[in-house]
This record gives sequence, structure tokens and C-alpha cells, in this order.
Amino acid sequence: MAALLLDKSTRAIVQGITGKVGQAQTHWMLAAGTPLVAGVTPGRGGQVVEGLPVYDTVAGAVQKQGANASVIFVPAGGAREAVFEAIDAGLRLIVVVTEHIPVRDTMEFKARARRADTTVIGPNCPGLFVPGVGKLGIMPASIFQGGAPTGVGVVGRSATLSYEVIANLTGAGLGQTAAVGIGGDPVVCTEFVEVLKLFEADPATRGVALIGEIGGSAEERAAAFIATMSKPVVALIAGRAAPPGRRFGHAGAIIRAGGGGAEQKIRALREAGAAVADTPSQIPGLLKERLS
Amino acid sequence: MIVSEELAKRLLAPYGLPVPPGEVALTPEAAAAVAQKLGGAAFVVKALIPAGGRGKAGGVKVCGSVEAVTEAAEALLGHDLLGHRVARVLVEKAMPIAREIYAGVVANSATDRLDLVVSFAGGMDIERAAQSDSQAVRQLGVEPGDVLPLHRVRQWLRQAKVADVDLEALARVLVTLYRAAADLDANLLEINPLAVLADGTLALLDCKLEIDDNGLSRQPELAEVYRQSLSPRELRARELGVSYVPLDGDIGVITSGAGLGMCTLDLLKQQGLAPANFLDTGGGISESLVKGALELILEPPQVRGAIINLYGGINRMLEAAKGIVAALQTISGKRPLVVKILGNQQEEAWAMLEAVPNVHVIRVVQTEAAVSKLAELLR
Repeated sequence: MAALLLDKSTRAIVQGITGKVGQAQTHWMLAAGTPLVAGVTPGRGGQVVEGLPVYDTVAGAVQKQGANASVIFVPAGGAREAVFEAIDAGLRLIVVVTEHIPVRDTMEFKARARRADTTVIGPNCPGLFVPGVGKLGIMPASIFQGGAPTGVGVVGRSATLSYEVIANLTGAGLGQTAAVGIGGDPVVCTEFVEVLKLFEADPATRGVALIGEIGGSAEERAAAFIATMSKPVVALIAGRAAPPGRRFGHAGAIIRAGGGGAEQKIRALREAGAAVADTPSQIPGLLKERLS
Repeated sequence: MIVSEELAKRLLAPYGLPVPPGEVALTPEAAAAVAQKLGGAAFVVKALIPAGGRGKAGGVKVCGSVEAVTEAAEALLGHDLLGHRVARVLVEKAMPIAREIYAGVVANSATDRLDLVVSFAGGMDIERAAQSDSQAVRQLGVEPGDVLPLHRVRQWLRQAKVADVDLEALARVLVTLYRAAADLDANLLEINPLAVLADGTLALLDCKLEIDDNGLSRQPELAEVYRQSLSPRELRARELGVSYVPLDGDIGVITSGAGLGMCTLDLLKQQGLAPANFLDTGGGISESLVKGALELILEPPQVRGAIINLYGGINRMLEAAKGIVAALQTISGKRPLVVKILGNQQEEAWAMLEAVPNVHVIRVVQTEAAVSKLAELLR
């Protein structure tokens, strides 16, 4: 897989291309220059959507168009099978935009992806955007600024809060190398740590903005990796004002799967050497201090 | 979704799991009638509330007579417990407990699988036992989508070296609980205690069940129960396709996305403002959705101002602006509304909204600016 997941060698398909959302988003992905080669909707093979040929199966798109990546807009009820199909067809990168997928289904396709060594991003995510290459997903192109030889990598759980941060980076003259929305569900297939590793290894990325939120322990795991990174990381944690969730049952406490409070995450990130912003618009300034 | 104890037990009974006989009562008289019908000399009366820690808070009463059942029901019904008004009690036959086991099945985001969690130090002090002795808790799971085989559980239990428990029967109960949790799309299925009775048989004395809300689409019975549990405003939100959370303050909040929403609430707090509610539009922003959303968040009388914070992406923001204008035509009063909307057609949307009285448009990408503006208007 390429340094920042999506590059000129990507030949991506859109699963669910004939749906209203799939079709509209295909239009905007093409407008952003994304190397899309086909769409897949079972039973709609032979149609053409936004100039792209539609196939009944992912395997068909692989065979006819050399597809190696997919972005999925299939509704929640069929999403698991769509991801299975993409994994089994040998695709190397799969972005699952679909929201409201039951966590049991996500766990099943995450396990299958791990066995096949396939990168799945999401579910319930805006996908990824690489300025100058394109996007797999729904991030608005207008907020990005690319073109510079170096830039900032952005990784976030929340889509629209990440957009606000990206727009602020652009407004402050800090261009981006890539943005990855990992998704807001309790189980996501690619976590902060994997994306941080890509940014750490990418020669064009000089620093990272990380947008986390309360719940789970992904930010704590990210902190452990940030402690080993050479590049500066500035983080934002949403949900500091949220009341502590009432506990129901003992399982979380006895298997130590709890955690998730904002203060705990902020402390872990600061101890790892990351700067933690109080507001989204502080992020560019904090990054500039650390990049100069 | 938290499933009440009696419904959870009703869902587990068809699996052949040993659930004690009992019925729900809404009045002390009905509770006594249930006890009469159950027969025997000992009963348990339990407050049906969606909260943990109920036993320690006095929500479970053991009764030695039908009269005591009436008194226990009187003491619980209509009273507040752990922040919930008790409207129903569950009356069950009391079981002679020889030993308490903890059994849980949890969708574990740290291991990405359903984990079966068992401790032979069950009961109300399970957490302390787990902390003082890590050996006390056993955790087992299989690759998601796989079946947990009985022989693995049997072998796993044998390592525990407990004498006075029928491990074969326990293994069967645990395997069945694991299967039921997967079938029901449970985030948590917890039996504490899973009791070993005086005669050596097992019984599921308590049951906590929390269902993945995203799994309700394939759990029709539970989806209907969930619908009926919603307030009228929550139902309207559901019909609009948005998520709505009522809160304690006096500022209405609409955002596109939960993360941006949490961040907006954080910034309101920094300005000393408290949200009355929080509505997340999700992805598809249309005129009718925004109109319905604004009507919903401005409806509680304590709301003295509101903020709309939207990133439309490819959605046409002129539609959102029309929705705001349409909603304000149906709502009286002069409460300030700060609007920060970005996306396709944003300039047209701003121009339309800047002509509306009491609406303040924020043309920059900083949510802080919108929150500060609202604070200033309310000062």
C-alpha cells in the first residue's frame, strides 16, 4: 500500500454507485480528480453512472477494470456483505462510509480484513482526502489546500469537526498532505495508531492534527505511539463538557475496558508530548510553533 | 437501548435458559396477586429501572410473605431510585442461593469481539473481587462470526478448579448466553448473579441487557419497545431522521455531526452557557429537515437562544436557510439565533438569513465566533 493510502496507482470502484448518495458522491469524487474506474451494484451491471461502467460484482470490476480499491455507500443492512465481497475480491483499500452498521457486523468484517491483510477505513466515516490525488469518501474538497511540497496530516474520528480543523489549517496557510476520517463508531477498522504510523513514515508530512473525542480508548493507544514519534502532534478532544456516562453493568470495570473520559485522554496525550488545543482554531497556531 | 429485566428474561427463556418464574406489577395490590399466584413462602420484589447498582441502592427487596411483598412494592413504586421514577416492579419467587457466579457477554472494543466474562466471585462485590484478584475473572471469545464451541468452555471452566458447581450445566448455560448475546445484537448481556441454588441447579437471578441501537433494525420486537419508550420530542426527531438529546440548560443546539456537536457544547460551557438540548442532523440536510429540527429545539419554553452549526459539504445550504426561515415563521418570540453554515451555496444562504430579524450569521469557520456571538447577545 502506498505511503498515504490513495495515490496515482489507485483504481477505485464505488459500491452502491446507483443509489442517490452513491451517485451524487461519485460526481464529487470525480470532480476532485479521484481515479475511479467503475461502480458496482448487484443487478445493475451494464448501466453507466457518471460515465463509469457499472458491474454486478466486485470481482467483475477487478477483472475488467483492474480495480484495487473501493468506497462503499451501500445501506447498513447490506454493508457487511459488500465489505466481505470487496475483501474477497482482493482489494487492498476499502473505505466504508455507511453509518448505522451494527457493531457485530463491523467486528466480523474487521476480522476478515485482518486475515486478508486488507486496509478498511470506517465504518461511519468521511473517508480520506489526498490533495492533488482525490478522495475516497465525502470530505468537501473546498476546505483543503495542497500543492506545497510539505504539509500537515489530519486524522479524526468526527467528520464535521475534522472539516472545521482542516478549514482552519487552510485559513492559516498550513496545507495538508492527507486527511483520514477513521469513523465515529465504537469499533472502527483502522485506528489512530495506523494512520499516525503512515504520517510518521511519509516524508512530506511535517506534523499531525489529531481530532479525538470521548469514549473508548483509541486516543490513549494513540498517545502511546505519539510518545515514539519524531513529528509534532496537536490534538483536540471533543466532549469535555459531556456529563460522565452512567454505568450499566460491571463488565466494563472488571475487564478494564472502560476509560474514555476527556481528562484522561488529554492527560495521556500531553504526557506523550502532544499539544492539546482547547478549541479547533488554536490548532494551526500550536502546530506552527512546533514546526518552526 | 437498555432492555428492562423482565423483557430481557422473556427473550432468554426460549433459549432454555433457567429464568425464575415471576411477573410485572404496576401496583402493590397487583404485586401481592403475583406473589399469591407464584406460591411459596419467599419472594423478591425488584424495581424495574434502567440503571446499574440497583441492589446496593435498595431496589431489590426479599420478602418472607405476601404482606411483605405489598409493603415492598409500596416502598418502591412511585419513588425515585438512582435518578429514575419506579413505575413497575418485578415480583419473582425467591431462590435459595448456595453460590453466586458472575457471567457477562460484552461487545469488547478493546478485543474487537464478543467476550464471555466469568467470575466465581459473583454478586454485588464483583468489581472489588476482580480488582483484588485478577485470577478471579476469566475472559474467552472467538473470532467474530464464529461459533463458541461447548468443549472450549468446558475445558476453560475445568481450569478454574471449583468444586461445588456442576461445570457441565454451567458450560451449557454460558455457551447459550454467548449465542443469545450475538443473536440479540447485545452490547452487554450480564447475569449477576448466575446463582447455584441449594439443589445444585443454576438460575439467572438478574439480567442486564443493552442492545446495540444499530442492531435494532433486525430486532423488530425490541425496535417496537424502543419506539414506545421515546418521548414525543424524541419520536419526532426519529421521524425526521435526526438524533435529539434533551439536556438541563437553556440554549438550543443544532449541529451536523456528533463530534462538532460535542465541541460546540464544550465551547458553550467555556462561555458559561448551558445547552437545553442537542440535535445532530446527520448527513442529509434538506429544507424540511432543518425546519423540523429548529422547531424541535426551540420548543422547550426555557430555551432563550440557539445556535445552528452546520457543515453541509455537498448539501445545498440554501435549502437549510429556507428551512430556518420557514421554521421562524411558525415560532413566536425574539430569541436570538446564531447561524454558522458552511458548504455548497453558502453565500446565497448567508444573504437570505442576514435579512431575517434576530438571526445572526457567522461567516467564518470558527465555532468559537458563533458561541461568543450568542453569549454577547444573551448578556
